[in-house]
Amino acid sequence: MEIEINGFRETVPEGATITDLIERFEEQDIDLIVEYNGRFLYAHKWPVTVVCAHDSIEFIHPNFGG
Amino acid sequence: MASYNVINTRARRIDTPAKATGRAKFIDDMNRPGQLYGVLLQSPHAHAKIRAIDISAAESLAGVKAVITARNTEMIPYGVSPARYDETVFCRDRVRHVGDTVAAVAAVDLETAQEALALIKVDYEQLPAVFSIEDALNEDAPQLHEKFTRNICAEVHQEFGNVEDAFKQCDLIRTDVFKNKRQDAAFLEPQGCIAEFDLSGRLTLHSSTQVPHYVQRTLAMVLGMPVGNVRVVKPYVGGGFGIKAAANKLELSASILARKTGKPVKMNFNREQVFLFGRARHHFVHKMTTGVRKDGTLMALEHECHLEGGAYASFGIATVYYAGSLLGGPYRLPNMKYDGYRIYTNRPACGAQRGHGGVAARAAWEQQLDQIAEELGMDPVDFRLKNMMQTGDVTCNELNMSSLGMKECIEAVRDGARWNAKKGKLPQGKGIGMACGFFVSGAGYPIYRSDTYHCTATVQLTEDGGTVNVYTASAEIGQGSDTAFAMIAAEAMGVPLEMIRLQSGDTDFGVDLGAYSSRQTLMTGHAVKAAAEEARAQVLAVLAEELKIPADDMNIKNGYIEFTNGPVEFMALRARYIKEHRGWIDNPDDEPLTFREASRIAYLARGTIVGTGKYKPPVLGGKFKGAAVGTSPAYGCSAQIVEVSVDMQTGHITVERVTDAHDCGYAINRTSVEGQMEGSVFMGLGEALFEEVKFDDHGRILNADLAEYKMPTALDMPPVDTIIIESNEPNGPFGAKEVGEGAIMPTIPAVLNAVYDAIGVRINELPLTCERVFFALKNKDKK
Repeated sequence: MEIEINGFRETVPEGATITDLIERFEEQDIDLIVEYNGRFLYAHKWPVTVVCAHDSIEFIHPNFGG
Repeated sequence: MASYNVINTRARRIDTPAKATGRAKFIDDMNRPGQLYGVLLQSPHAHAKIRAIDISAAESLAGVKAVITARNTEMIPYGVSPARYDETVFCRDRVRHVGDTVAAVAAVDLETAQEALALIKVDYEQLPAVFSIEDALNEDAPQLHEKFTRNICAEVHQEFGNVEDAFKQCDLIRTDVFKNKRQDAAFLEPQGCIAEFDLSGRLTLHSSTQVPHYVQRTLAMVLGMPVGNVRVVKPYVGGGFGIKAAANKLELSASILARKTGKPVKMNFNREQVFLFGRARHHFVHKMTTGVRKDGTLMALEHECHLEGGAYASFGIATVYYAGSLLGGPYRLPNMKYDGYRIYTNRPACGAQRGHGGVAARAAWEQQLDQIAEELGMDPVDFRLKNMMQTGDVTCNELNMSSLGMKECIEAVRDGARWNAKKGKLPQGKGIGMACGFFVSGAGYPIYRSDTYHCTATVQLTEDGGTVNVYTASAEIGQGSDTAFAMIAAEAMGVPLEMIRLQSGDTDFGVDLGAYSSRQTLMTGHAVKAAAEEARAQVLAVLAEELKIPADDMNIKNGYIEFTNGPVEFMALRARYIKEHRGWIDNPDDEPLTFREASRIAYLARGTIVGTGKYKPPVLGGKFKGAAVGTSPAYGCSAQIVEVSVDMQTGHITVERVTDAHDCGYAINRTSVEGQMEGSVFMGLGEALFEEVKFDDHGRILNADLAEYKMPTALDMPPVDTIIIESNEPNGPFGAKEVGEGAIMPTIPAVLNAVYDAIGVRINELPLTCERVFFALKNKDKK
């Protein structure tokens, strides 16, 4: 199944949750922001949110200074 | 603490002669043969559709070489975070704030370019606009960017511990709302640049920037060029304070114009355009609920924050994040909940400014902590000391205080200002207040997603052995970083500072993410130290081969070779060196073996001696294995005590004295540390007392100049007693960490607390103008 992660097309297993993707793409960080189809996704919803084909996900590490 | 020869002294800055004699070249001093002058056409409307643009008359004007808009030039979206590439160089169909960029002209002189601007006809259809957080969040509000409903540009929601449960255990819970105002950083030098293509199609951009590397990357992306074909050079820069920490419209427009015309193109912002471009401090609204036990133990903080961010994201994702996360310390706070929202409005974009994200939050909370201390009947200093973290503590949001001299800072200002003799004992109209704060020493991640090193450095010894060349792409913007790195290189190499020749600010020198987030001393400092140590090791390795002794038995100190196990016969080496220099009058005589001789011998053995260094934050091994170090590798911290007089008739505040202690880990240049501390106090006083970017009802700035944008002058500056605290940061080069931004954190709340002490009324909105204080006094009298 293809979805878009951080602007790039990626192939992920059917039934993958956001938590699975965080692990798979090594995005673990205490401050991680997840945007699911353009909307902020609360951390408690990561394990129960199953992604679908063509979904768009942004993993954002907000600790990039300034 | 180890003894050092160069660092921790008061070195004269290496750029002082050039600046003192006027030889330092800033961008406006520079010109290129045959250069054109570029200017921008900017929107007069806060929100409008662009129905048509007619550039024919402008193009026909004699002397005009190019007119570019989004309709005749490819527009690649860009921004700061890749998750929010929401800008293009020119607006295609819609302008989103007064000053939004519509077109650019290049002409043979500035006057012709300005005349051409007036000939461009833009047919606008005005749209409803939103200027406040409340209006922008309305369900039926006009949307600035279709993807972001209700104009929410970015949001952060975090909870560490369990705030609800913690509140049940509290004896006192109070809620306060606090507001600051949108600001301008008011640096001396407006942004400017010169773009030039060579005959091979390579671009060189000279620009007044804090971040040559990021500008290079953005130029390459927007112009569709390989990164290696773009060189960004930073000349002397007259301040930045965060606003120059990303690519701007001038840099991109000038480069496009230069490519189109084949000529160098120079562009500058005037002061009004600096305000219209914005990117400075957001307007924040903080709502904080804090719970404590009756013994003063901090239990929980519930924090909601809204940021008025303007028309584009800029650094906004980071801003809204730092506004919450930087309250995790420096107090032991086991439970913290944060909900932050950054909101798009039809005003110029806000961005990062000194103390990024944390300044208003710190002001709000430190004032609230004073109120809590008062309600508990505790001295504000004692209340803070009771809850203060110590070295080795980790905050509830996992900020690792690998060094923290916060307690020492508090005790130093308490004693330095004679707090115990003054607090509660001053007459009406006189007040004393204190506050604390801390800040990161660099960020865990680069702005774009990458495993890149955050900085690299190169040290190259000259063939005669007499000079150590240091090359770093870091950005000296007036803060003294070049001198700090020269000192670090000298110390690591073991030579006097005078032997160092340092060049920086050029992307050809390597990678350095630049001057922001108080990152350079720690991060670039590490890379420079490593490069110097590598070059030093090569010199000692050659000496070891020549003298037949272990390299570990030698040291380089203050320009001489030390033999740690007693005298070593080196006259054969000296004779060889001297014979290469017949006729020279400065050959060594009866002194110890010099670094210059050793370095020359190393060159003869190995060719040019080059050392390289690099740095990026280490990865965690704990809860989030593989993640970056966390918010920062280290945290600097400050405590300040402010003493004020308030005219009870007019509300006018005079800041009489500031006592300021900052833990910078270990000072590289003590004078520069004090300079950063005093500069931070200056900026903090401006934010506390004067500064506000004001708008009319149409989104036009009313005070876009340094006459009407009120900020402190030298006459407003009180005496500042600076006290350097040194905790020896284990993650910093020679123990060093930040000072540039942590030092601003306590200033505003210390003023707020001092004013309350003087007049007996709390003010929850900045700035503390005479008018605001006057009406606060009147309202108090009514009650």
